[in-house]
Amino acid sequence: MSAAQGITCEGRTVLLTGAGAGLGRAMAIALAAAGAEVVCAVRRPETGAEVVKEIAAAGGRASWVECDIKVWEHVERAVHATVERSGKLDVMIHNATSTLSAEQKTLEKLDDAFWEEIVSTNLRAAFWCARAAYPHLTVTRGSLILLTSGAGIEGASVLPEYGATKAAVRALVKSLAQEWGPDGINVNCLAPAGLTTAYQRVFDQDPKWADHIRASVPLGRVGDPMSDIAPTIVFLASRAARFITGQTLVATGGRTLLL
Amino acid sequence: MSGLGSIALSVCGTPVSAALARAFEGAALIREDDHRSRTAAAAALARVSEKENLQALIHAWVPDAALAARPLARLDDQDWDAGCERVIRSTIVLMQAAYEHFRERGGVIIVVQPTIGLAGQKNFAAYSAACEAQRCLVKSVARAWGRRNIRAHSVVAAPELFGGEMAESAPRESLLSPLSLRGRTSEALLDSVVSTVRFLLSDGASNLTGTTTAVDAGRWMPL
Repeated sequence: MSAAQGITCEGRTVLLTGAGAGLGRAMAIALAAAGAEVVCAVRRPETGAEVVKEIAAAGGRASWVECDIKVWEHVERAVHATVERSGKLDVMIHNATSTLSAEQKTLEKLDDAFWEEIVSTNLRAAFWCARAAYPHLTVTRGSLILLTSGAGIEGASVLPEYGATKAAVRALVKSLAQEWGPDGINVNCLAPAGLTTAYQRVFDQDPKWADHIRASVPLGRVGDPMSDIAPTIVFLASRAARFITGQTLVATGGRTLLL
Repeated sequence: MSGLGSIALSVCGTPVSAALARAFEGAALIREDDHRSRTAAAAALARVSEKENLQALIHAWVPDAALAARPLARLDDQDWDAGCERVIRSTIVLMQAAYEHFRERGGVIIVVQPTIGLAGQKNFAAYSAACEAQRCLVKSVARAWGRRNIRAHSVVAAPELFGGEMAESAPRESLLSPLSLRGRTSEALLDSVVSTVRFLLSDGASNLTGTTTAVDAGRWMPL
């Protein structure tokens, strides 16, 4: 059964970065369950093969392409592979992020190497995904979806670089919504607070941090990737969201209230 | 501010930058080369504080590349870096350099930028992204450094005040705006930017931090 019951992505071809693990994996499975043909862009081939196998076992359609989103040629190749396989691209989703993105440090401790890791995966890759997908989205009057975060809305004392890149993505979406609206393309952000690989890594290191996060969420938990977060991406990727553009859908259990 | 110290003002060729330089005549001007790296920024602010303690950093720099209208699909990687990532890096290294001066005595950081980060602007996607990153950095350091009496603010001003093609592409009025910009001169808005910055630097604002003040006659209404 689809993770977003009643919402269909039937006939939509979706290219999803970071589809091999965490939120991305749940999104891929949910999108396929909702009827989409999903191309999973993954850094590690073995993760792509596993997700595709799971989708196929459930009767869905998916394939994978190796893609390090910090390399422009890989992003371009992933888009071309999608169009070659499916004949079109309806939805481009940039979900991939760095496994270090939840590493905590205040701004004075930020160094160039860490900044490059975060900005290249979160922001520059978003630009590249948008640039590579645009010619194909104009054909399908499709959708671009970028992942942001509550940290990009309210700021974050110990994740300043992460917040900055995620805030930048939100403005990118607003500008592109205006720029690409005449082409029939809608552009949106999803701000999830789901149990990502990066979150899990921090929680494992410091269980107190997990308690702190949970205590700050009115709904009392970090979102489950499949049951809490995946339905929101299915909605944004569906034609049901076609009149929504330039927006950030916040799925943080009420933790982020200052949109 | 009580106990006046020195102000570092990061400037460029925009009208709003010129207005700030006129208003804060004694401020030390920080130029483009001064924020190309963390080392350069540290050296620049060290020079500023040689005679007087540094008390405030005003970052109003905008690269020329950011003010040129261009669809995102036509941006190459160099354009992207010049219009977006370079702006964010300048903000990070100047904030880091300011922190070294402010961490014992406190201080104020103010970033002045156009409203396009809040609202987006077609053909300015790269710079709009940079603006929102700057505004989020302001919030993050306001949270992290507040206990050291370091305050941080964003002043977001009408795009007309930044010149270039951005000024030409800015909508003249909005149906949603209670105060149409029609009839309001750029000079009056520039004065308002200066007044807002003066207030945020003052003791009267000593309990404010992390704020965004829009100086655009009500076209946009951020929280």
